[in-house]
Amino acid sequence: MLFNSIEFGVFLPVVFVLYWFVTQSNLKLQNSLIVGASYLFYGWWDWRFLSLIAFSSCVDFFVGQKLVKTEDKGTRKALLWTSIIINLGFLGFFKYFNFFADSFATAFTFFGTPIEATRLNIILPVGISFYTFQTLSYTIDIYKKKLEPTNDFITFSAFVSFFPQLVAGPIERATHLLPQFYKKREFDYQRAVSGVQLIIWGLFKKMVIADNAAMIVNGVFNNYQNESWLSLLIGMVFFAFQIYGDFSGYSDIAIGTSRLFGFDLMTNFKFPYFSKNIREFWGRWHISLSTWFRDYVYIPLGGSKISQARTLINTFIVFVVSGFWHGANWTFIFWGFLHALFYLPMVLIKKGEKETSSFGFKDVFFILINFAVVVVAWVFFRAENITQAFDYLNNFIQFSGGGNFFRKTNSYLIMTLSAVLGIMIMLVVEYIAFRKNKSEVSFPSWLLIVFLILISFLGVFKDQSDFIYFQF
Amino acid sequence: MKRFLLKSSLYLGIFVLIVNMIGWVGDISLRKSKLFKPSFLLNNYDNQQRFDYFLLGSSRGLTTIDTKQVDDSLGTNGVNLSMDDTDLKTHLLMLKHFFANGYKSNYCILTLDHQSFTKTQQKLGDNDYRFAHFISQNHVREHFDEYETTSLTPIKNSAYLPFLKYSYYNLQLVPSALLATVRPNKRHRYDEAGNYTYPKKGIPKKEKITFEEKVVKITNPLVKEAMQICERNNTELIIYVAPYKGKSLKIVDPNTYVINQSSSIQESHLFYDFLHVNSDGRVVATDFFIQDFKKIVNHSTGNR
Repeated sequence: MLFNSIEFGVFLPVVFVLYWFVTQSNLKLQNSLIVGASYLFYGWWDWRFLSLIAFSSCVDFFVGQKLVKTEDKGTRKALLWTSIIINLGFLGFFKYFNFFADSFATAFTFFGTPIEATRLNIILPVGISFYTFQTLSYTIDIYKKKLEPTNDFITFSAFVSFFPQLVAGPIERATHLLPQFYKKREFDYQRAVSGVQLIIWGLFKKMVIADNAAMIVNGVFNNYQNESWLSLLIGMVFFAFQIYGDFSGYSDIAIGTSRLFGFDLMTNFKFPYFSKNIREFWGRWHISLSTWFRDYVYIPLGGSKISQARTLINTFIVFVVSGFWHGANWTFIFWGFLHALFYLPMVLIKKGEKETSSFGFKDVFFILINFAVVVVAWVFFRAENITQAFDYLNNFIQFSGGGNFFRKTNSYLIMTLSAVLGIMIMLVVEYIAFRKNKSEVSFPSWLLIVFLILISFLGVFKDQSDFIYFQF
Repeated sequence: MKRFLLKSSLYLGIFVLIVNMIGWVGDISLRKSKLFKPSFLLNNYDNQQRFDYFLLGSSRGLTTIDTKQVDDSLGTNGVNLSMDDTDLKTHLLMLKHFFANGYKSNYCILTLDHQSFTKTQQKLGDNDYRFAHFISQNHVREHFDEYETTSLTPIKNSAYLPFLKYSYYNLQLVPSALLATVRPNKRHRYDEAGNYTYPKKGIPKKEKITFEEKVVKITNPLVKEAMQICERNNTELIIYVAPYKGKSLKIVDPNTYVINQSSSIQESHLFYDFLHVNSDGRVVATDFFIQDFKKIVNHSTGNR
């Protein structure tokens, strides 16, 4: 079920009413409702993959129970690895099998032994990368004795499958989200209002910015060889805003929806395009994933405690693995590699630089430079393959002439103008919040009506695109 | 909770009110404009007058026959109501729209494309939204009832919530409604008689076209429906097959008058593309049409 669908528009109020008016008196019933609603939400896409979530929940619940009952190091390690292998095994099979098969075949062919890759017709279960990481955090935290396991399977299932963030995050830590399921939730007016604000803001970013930009981006990238440098520039910049509008829009709707049910999810985006350098960018972009990698990969590898060389290697590994997490394609790995290249000098030069919300001439200059760097990296993320990305950039820097997809028809021009208007509004609203050092936008309630009107008349309702991060 | 629900309902109510008012104003603007053919008919012609003929069809009807040339030659009074990117179901809707709004005509020229001879796609046409602001009229509502398949059925439901169609078809309808408000006499790619023509491309080569012959029968039930509607309104239906670049259709057992010009133009320089003639081709095709049309008029007048 998509957040921007009619089905969700019906589903959400129904679950809300059942949650607060029918099951409120009984915590267990309320958590059961969350599990039921979440399974319905996910099963709407493909019910067959519910078994994966259920199995993953069973494994980690069982491992958690066993871990707390034993102090034997070997047994504990074996239990931890059971969870890791099963979870990452599913992820690896569904997401990476064909990639590894193709890559091995290519490698053997390169070294003179041509072989055929055996590909499987595998459907990637929506959100598998997200809920796999979330359940893993539970087991790892119990193993590290940072968390007590739950004895209530329903509560644990609700934590794993919590529908607002099930398919595209934020990737919650068990230490943060799970305890919220233990407590009786009271309806909080202010929290609910801020939730509605975030939902509408997220829909605005998704439907007005991302979906309009997506049409132009697809048109430009599909025919980049024949597009002018201006069109290529618009394609790149629009993709930067498309992916931001799409993903941060999803996160906002997820966080907002959770607040309607009395839950707090972690902030996932903090105005990343106002970052003045790449380090700051990664402190503001997909925070739930970058902190996950920090906590469960970077620090276990030694973090910055061993030596500077080791710090650099660890940072490099995290970026490449993070790129690979996004998808089974060399483009994502290269995207991670590029960010590592941009990031590593920051490790060497400056340490512990604090984020500031200053906005002087110098800051604007650095913001624009950083944005340009991020945009270039996005080309690799968006392209079909690395060669195409280099070609795209090569055509752009040659300032070649060619077609202008964005004004090929009246419809494309209107989409372009709608996206530009949406981007400008977003930048103004986010700038205000950024200057106030807030982690999310807020506005007077009457502005919600304005945003709803803008969504109604400028948003994409026909030919909607899926949320980009669903494929990860 | 009570406060939250009350405030949410209030804001939702205000939102629904505002967007529907905007939608309602948009509907009025489009209905009073000449931007799209359905409102062009109503605002450009008095429904008391009787046409000699009116032309229905897709882009092939729109760009092949020049009704001004026909009228100059035969002293008739006709209008071209063809719309680009439409098929038979939309032509039928235009036929119903014509009669439902009180217009009368001696002949209806239905430009029938080859793919509509036997069947019609059971889904809404790309340009059917151009009727959306007439959703309160029965024939339009019935059309969207039958063909609109999206879960929300935005055009059908816009009879009650006008903003729905402007949301779903915002790319098409929002700028159109704005344009219709500012320039109500603006027409969307057609002249004052409803005609449009494709330009000549580059320096055309005068090449003979080779034709692929096909024997075909018109069995589409919508054609029968069109005949019945015409009959009820004392109008003679003429099926017109416009020229194809390389396709010759032999129509067997037609139940009505047919002007078949599928292979009448044999030189490639008169075509814009496979389906459409260019401005020179239009003059030639219209001349052919005039000759055939005159014969039918004489024949049917003789029969009356």
